Amino acid sequence: MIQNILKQQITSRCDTDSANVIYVMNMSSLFFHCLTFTFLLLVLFLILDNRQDTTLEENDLTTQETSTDSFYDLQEKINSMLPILIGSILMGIAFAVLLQEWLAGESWTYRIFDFVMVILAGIPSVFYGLICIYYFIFKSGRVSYLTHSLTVVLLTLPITIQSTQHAVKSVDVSIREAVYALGVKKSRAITQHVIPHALSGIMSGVYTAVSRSFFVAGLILVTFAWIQTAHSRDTFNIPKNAYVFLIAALLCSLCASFLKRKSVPNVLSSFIS
Amino acid sequence: MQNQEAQPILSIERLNVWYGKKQILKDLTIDIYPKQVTAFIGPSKCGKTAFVRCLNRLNDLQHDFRYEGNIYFNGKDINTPKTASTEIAQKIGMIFQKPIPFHRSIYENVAYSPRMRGIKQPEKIGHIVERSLTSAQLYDEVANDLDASPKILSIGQQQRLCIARALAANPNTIIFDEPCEQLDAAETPKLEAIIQNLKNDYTIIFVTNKRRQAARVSDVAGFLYNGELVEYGQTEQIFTNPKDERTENYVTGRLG
Repeated sequence: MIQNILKQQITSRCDTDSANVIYVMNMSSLFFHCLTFTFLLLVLFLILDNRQDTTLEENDLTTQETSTDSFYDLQEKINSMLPILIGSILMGIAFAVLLQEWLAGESWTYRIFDFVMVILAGIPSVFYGLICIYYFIFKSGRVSYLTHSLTVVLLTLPITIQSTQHAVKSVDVSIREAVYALGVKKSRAITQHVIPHALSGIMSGVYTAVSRSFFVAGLILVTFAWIQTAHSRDTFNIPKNAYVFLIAALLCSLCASFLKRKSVPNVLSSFIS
Repeated sequence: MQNQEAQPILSIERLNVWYGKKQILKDLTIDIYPKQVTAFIGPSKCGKTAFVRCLNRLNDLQHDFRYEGNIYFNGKDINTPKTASTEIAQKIGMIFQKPIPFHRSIYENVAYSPRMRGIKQPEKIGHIVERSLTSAQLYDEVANDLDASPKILSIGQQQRLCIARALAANPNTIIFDEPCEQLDAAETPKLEAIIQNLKNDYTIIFVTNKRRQAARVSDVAGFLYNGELVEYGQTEQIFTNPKDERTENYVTGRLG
């Protein structure tokens, strides 16, 4: 089955040679991406869970009462952020399509929103991570779900919205015209033609957002572990979970850059003649 | 006009069109009669395409598009907020310069609009597909690979596939917007023959900047220059005995 999917992917890639269509991601290759993505998440979950169990046992055996409790509490919180990550990405895609197709124009609200999104997406992810540590943990003194969710949403939403907007915008005008000239309703035209054409761009944005949040998660783990060791004067070891997150972030950003190359827009044809 | 006594299918009254601040069409008033080929000629950038895009409301896609005036299609104003633009676009089909087949099989390309209209019976759809492909003179060439991707077709065949797709939407007017621009010499006569056949059942609006092609294909011709309709009349008269000096200059090749 996987071979079949791969074969279809290769043929769809060969299609890019023909003049008219840039790179249409068909449903099978979307399925392939979803598969990769869930596989990645599954591996992540398994590794993190194993790690947590073994360390807990070690704790029981050695019965050392250190401040590692809050550290594993943090890990647990990070794990529980995964549904929020996925939800925020899906919401971002839906919102961006809505924004670009129905609300785009010269209106002030759209312009202000666009401006804010550009700024938010431009801020380095480290900044969000540090703000999260400083305000949400040290200031309030406890780890709450709300603050964590807010950080994840702030991290992923702007970049998903922006890249989806760009992907939808860069779908060749002639494709839309060909669809609308048949009398197709707007909602149908968007779901059946515009989004499939923009899918590689959208997926690239999704991978970027995921890589950003994984990167920050890894960074927070490292920083937190470092702070802990500084307090207890143990030797400092980078926690293995942080490695997992950082490698996952790297893989995701690789996928993103690969897909970005695939979604180069065509030169728009001139209208008036 | 040929069918002077008949009701015009499209009547345009004092149409002014702007893209941004630039005025593209100036005070266009014209009647288009059914079951004949109406050609619009003129040098490039004179507003031919902008004009035909007004007819099926494709200009709505442009953010900076602005218009004044009325367009009546079968006696109904097409630009009121009440009329659905999808209905107009379905009744007025359009063929573009560049053929854009959808990313699905040849059969599904043609079956797209019948399916969209809610026809579910496979026999009925098959019948529509066969009839449309036959009228587009493509059926014999693709009969054996209806399930293949349109990528295997040549650019001329793709253009004919687009014609079949437009016919399957059951329009009564078809706009050809410079359809032969990307075709080779062998494909152009085929397309012209298709247009001559379609003339019996459909109203055809044909935009081109090739004078000879317009003279071959059309019954009635209009000459647009800098957004103005300079002259509109029988093709023979336009090409042999033009009333306006600019038309004469264009037809004889001194202009544009």
